[in-house]
Amino acid sequence: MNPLLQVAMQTILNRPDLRNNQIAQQFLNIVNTGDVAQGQQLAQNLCQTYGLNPQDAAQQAQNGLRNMFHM
Amino acid sequence: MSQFGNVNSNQYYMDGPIPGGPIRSVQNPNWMNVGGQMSTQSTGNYYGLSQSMNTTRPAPTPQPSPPDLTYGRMVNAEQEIVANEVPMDGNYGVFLTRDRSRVFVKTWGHDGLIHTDTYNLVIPEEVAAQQAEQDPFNIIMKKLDAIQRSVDPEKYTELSKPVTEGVAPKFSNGGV
Repeated sequence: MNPLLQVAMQTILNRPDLRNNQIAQQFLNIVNTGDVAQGQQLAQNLCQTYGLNPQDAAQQAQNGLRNMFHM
Repeated sequence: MSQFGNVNSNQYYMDGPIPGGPIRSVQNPNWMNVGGQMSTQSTGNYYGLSQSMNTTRPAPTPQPSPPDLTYGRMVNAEQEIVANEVPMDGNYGVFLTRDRSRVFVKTWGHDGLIHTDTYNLVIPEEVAAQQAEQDPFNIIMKKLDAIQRSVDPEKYTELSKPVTEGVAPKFSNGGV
């Protein structure tokens, strides 16, 4: 795995507020294994739970990342 | 200065505990160094970020603590509970209906869905019977029953009996 990604994952794992977050743990597990189908299923379930359209959610995520990195 | 004398707290933390000292319980090595210079020997911080840069050190295994009840409120119906109200830290959100008949316990699953346990109120039979006796409709029916019995005891039909087959009770005298 990319060492930078490994550091990022360890940082997330060490955060006390994410240690018991099952979704974050599952997400990290999916990133670790590279299981695209499982990741897609998790994203769809989250959209369903929050009542979001997957396309809208993807757009919001892109906008959030652009703001975060000032792109 | 402190219970540890004049020794720098960071050095204590890095070099090991003083015999008999409670230094093992100190989680933040800088807790006594308020406003002072941070020691260059110190590598630890709250999140352990700098420690995680060392790739040879084995990663600490996260120890999930048992779930707790961290959030709750009264609701009119389950539909008004939104996803943001359910804690994502592994704990439960508890929602009690205003009539106190149901409790919804919600938690996030690792599949990205909210899992709900529903608890219904159980009323003991004696309490249910008492409540039925205090019901205004039942009181009126009993009074009508008593009047009918006193007016025509021979052709008395008990009004308080439950109506079956959707037909109202009939009286030979055309009713009261």
